[in-house]
Amino acid sequence: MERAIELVGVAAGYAGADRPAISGVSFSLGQGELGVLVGPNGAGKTTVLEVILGLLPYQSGSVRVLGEEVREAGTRLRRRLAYLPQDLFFPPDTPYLTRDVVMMGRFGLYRPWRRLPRKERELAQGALAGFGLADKAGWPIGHLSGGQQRKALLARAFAKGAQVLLLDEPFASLDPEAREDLARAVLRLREQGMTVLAVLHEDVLLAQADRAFLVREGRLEELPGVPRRIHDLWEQALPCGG
Amino acid sequence: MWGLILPALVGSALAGALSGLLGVCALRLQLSSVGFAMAHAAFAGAALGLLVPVPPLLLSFLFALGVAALLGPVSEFTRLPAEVVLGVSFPLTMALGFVFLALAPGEAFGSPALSLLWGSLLGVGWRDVALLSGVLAGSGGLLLLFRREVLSVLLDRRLAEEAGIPARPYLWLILFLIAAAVAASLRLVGGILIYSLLLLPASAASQLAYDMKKLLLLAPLIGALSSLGGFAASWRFDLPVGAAIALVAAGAFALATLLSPKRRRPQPAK
Repeated sequence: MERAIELVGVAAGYAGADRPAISGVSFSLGQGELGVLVGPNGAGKTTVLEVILGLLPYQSGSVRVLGEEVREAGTRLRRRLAYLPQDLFFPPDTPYLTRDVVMMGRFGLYRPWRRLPRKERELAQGALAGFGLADKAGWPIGHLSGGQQRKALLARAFAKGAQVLLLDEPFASLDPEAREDLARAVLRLREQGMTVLAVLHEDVLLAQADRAFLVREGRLEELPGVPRRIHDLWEQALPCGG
Repeated sequence: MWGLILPALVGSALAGALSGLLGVCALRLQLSSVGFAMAHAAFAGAALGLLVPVPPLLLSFLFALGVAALLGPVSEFTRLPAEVVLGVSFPLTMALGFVFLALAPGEAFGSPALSLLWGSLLGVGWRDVALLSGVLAGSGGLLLLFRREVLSVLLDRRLAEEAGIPARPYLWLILFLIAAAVAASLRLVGGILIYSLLLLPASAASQLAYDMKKLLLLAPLIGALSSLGGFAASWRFDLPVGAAIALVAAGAFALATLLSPKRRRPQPAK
């Protein structure tokens, strides 16, 4: 299986910190696989995603995504990736229509002076319809529920033609029904060949994951099997309760 | 008389439109005090112009752009939050302005630099109108050319980056355009009240529109109308022009809030 994501001996951190947020991180994920990153808060899970996306420069090691070294590929590579940040919820007065937010995922594909083809609008509309949000296309994004906003961002990833999807605690602040609904949407994207790497604090998606990685104190290790419940993991790997 | 009124009338409409346009960006970036800080920097620049043989207007622009540079590249380099940078630059430039005024030859309180704090109808000439037209055309042109990039950055910087748009240069572009708008409008509205012209029309427009594209058309319109209304009130009742424009813009905001569809209670289903 061809590797979609491959990290070898990666260290990265934030300016001003006395030590790197992650160090010696090595793992890979094949195309179309669903991997989950689990671990306590502050362990470095979001840092791993930011390094893969190229938002945070790495000090050592190698990060290859879709066959390209992230450091060299720059923004060009990001056009093939999609990212759902952890804390991104749009307040009700956000002056953007849902369809426009979906379309904006593809804005990086066009030079500033080029006119946006008409098909882009249809593509966004179709993607929203695929996620059951056709009737919400003309709504302000902030008028959608938290779960619907997340689904709209998945529709954006789909419309963008992303090959790798990075999810940072996608189920946080959602009710159980919305979580299940969102999980089904993520699995549909994987069925279509998208590689998914998700930071999880809930059991949702765990059962369907191909591989699980435990991150703690900036180190990453692959778990021998995917735990059925996050709680089991806490008991086995983090006996002190994380 | 029209020779005196006409440039001021056109200038006030242009300043309103320009401030409304860039005010939408300032509001989305949650930099409500940016206008205040830049206006005082421009005032300090103008005051310095009384001391050194450099045109005060040029120095106003350079000082306002300096605040944009502090907010953009310097804030990024020093990792200081934007509000801290603004909080430091405001008293610093205000103090510098008064120090320059005190050192300037002649009567400080009658100086042309001090009129930049309050704004003056009589100070506006066709050269100012040409400058405002140029800055408005330049800002509008750049925002139009980079509309997709700017809209993406104003939605969320991380999502812009994810879409393959380098957020940083576009953020700096927006900050420099705001600085240019503030410096260009200063002589008409005044440093203290430019803040209101930057934020009130944009806030009023955001009460009426759910879509950024409509917001970017509506805010300049409200800004221009507020300026013209304030100008008329200033002329008719002999009020300071900046204050009159700010009062009319505040009235426009109150009216927009009253008429806003966002305030309507949802109707029960039939």
